[in-house]
Amino acid sequence: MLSLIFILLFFDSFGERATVIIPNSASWSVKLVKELEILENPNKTITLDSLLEHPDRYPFSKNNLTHDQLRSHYWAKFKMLSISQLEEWTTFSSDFWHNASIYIIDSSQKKTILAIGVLEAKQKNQFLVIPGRIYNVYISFNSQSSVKLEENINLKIKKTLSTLEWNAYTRYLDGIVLGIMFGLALYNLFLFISIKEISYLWYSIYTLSIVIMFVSISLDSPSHLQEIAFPDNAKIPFFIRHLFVNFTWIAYGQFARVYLNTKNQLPVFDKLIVLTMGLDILGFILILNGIITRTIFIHFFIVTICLFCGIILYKRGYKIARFFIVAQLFVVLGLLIVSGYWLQIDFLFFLPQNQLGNYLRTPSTLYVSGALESIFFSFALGSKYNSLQKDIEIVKLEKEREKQILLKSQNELLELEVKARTEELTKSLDILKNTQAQLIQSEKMASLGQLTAGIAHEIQNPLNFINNFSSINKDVLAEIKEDTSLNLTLKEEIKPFIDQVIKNSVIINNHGNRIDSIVKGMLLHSRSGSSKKELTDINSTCEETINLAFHAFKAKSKSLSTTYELKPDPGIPRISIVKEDLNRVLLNIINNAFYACAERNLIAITHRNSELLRSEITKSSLEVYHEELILPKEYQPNVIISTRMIPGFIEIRILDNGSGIPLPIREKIFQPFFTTKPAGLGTGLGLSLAYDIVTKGFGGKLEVRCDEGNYTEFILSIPKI
Amino acid sequence: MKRKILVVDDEKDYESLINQALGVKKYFREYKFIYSLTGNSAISMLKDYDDIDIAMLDINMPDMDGLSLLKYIKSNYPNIQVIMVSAYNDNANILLAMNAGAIDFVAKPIDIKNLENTLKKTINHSENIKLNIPYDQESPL
Repeated sequence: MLSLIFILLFFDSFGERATVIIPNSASWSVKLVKELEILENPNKTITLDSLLEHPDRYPFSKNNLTHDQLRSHYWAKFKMLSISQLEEWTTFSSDFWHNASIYIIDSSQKKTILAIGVLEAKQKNQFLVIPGRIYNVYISFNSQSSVKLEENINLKIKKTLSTLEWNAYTRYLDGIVLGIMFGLALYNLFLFISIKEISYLWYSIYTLSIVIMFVSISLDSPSHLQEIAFPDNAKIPFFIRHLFVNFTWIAYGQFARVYLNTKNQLPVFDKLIVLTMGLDILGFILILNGIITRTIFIHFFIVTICLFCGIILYKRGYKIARFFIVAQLFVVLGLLIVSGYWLQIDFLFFLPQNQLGNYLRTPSTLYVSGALESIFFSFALGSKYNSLQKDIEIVKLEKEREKQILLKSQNELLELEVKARTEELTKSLDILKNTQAQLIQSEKMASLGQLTAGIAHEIQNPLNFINNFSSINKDVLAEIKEDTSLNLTLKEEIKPFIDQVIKNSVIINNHGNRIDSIVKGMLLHSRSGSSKKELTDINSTCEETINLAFHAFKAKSKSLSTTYELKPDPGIPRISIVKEDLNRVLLNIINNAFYACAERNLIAITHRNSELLRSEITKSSLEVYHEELILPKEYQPNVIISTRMIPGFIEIRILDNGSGIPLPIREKIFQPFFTTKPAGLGTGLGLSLAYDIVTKGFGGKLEVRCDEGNYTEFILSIPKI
Repeated sequence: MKRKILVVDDEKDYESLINQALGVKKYFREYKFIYSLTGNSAISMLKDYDDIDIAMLDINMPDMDGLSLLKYIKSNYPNIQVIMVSAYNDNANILLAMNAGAIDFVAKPIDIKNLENTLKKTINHSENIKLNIPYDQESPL
């Protein structure tokens, strides 16, 4: 069909004037370039009337104006004939003329004036063509555009519905498409708000920008924006249109960058996209200055680059790029169709020539492709949203797992800590128990001490009588025995009885004295510390005491050649203690040490001499434990007393190589009245007194280390203060 | 009339002991031991008799303790020499007694020999005071 028209035009062009034939078809359009005859109209001096009156005075020439000539006003003219069978609406439009007036004069000289142009506020571009009539069409125009010359002077004519019908139809479709896109813009905005993924924001901006672009684009009729918001001003919609045409693709480029992460994955292409975005801005400025009229090539470029990036990334295994590619294909298709529209190529030739088909053939197809792209992409983004959600959930799960692992390890740690703490607690509990036991023990000792003191004092009263009366009895009986005045025979008879009673009195007296010594020992225990503390030289005290004890011991057991050693630490400072107390403690321990030596010697002898001397120590429980012991042949009894400093304390050690302390009685040695010595030899108060003095008086410690049969060592620790 | 030695002790057998142990001795023929079981009765006895030279006091007694009695005697009858006889023979008590004016302190159980010597010394001292002989010129026993 088009070719036919071209042929017609071609043949017709040989004639005096080109005639545009409007064919008998539902859909038709033509773009007039060469067909137009041009006449320069400097300063708009030539009116239509003068043109009509003096056709010879104003000769029109072919449309071959040069670039430089296109700076003033012109007249263009052509003839138009419809061979259609119906009266049809024909729409005139030009993409480049800013303002143009079209005068259509029919054969009856009836004049119709139309107004078209991109900067024409009140467009009137439709004319009802009656078949068979020839119309002379005159066009008065001017253009500031400096794009390609032939392109500059063109006029599009096409069959359309009447403005009202067509507008209703396009509005209907535009409304649907724009509504869908606006909804999608909001949808993506929602996704952005919901998961804070920046690509959704850019896509939302992009979609919104498309919507604004569409409402501001005017094709054959005024744009929706102009119609609704600026009916009297074409410049603002013009500005908005181009602003958003360019901004849409900037937003698109930015979205592609974010969505495909080109910055990291394809840095070179990323820079190229940024550059193209810059070109878009430049294009916008150029359009505003009238230097260029279209930036569609830049858009093509940016879409192509992004599509290319998508393909590369998809090949690299970036799965979400797949959606991007498919969605972009819609855009490319839309741009292709629009390009075809501008280039008079019908890529949609397979579609019927009905309203929808025509709608899709116009740049409105971009609306549709854009909407389809948006729908598709929104689904793609939705799937990305899902995958992101999944990712988030996976991350969450991962975190949960990490948390659990952490929790587990912390639990283990905690358990270990609890275990350690429990051990510590058990330990400290043990210590506490021990301390408690000691406390109870010392408390017992203390109360025992008080009791002892009370008892001791009170015992002394009756003891007084026992001792003294037994003594008096003895004296009285002795007197009777001596009394010469008595009957001799009687005296002889009772003498044995008197002797018996005297003997008994002596025994009573002895035991009374024994009680006395026990009581005195007990009283020493409970003696209130009235003695004053004085600075005491520990070493010299030790020396004095061991000397004293040694000589006393030697006097008692002359046969045993016992030795002693003194190992003092000369660095020991004098400390403030009750010296008599220390003396008493040392004396008790040292006496025991010598006694142990003697005992060991005795055991050794007993061992050798069998039963001979056993009777002497039958009362000693030690004997039982010592029978099995193997003793060195030559036993040299020795007592070593040594002093030294330890942190916070002064330590006195009294070591003897005597018989040692049997294990079962080791705990009892500090108890009052506990003794292993035969009755009469010890009161069992020596060590308990020493213990009391050291722990309560000095605030120190008295410990014993012992290897039964080999040695005993008493360790006396006195605080330095 | 025999001079008197006042013995204050809550033990009943004390009288018997002192009589048997000391009363029979020649040295004490000039003296009569009089006994009181409580501090209060001792005070009334001090009022009844004006010829008490020496008092032997126990410390631990039911109604009035020996130290209070000692103080009472020393403030009312300064010429009576007091010997404390007690089982509570710790330093603190001895110190208290001596500071309150006791001439000596004898520990229980009583060593009869020791008590005898103490009594002799005290009697001597008491006699010397009566004769106004200064303490440092007293003849030793």
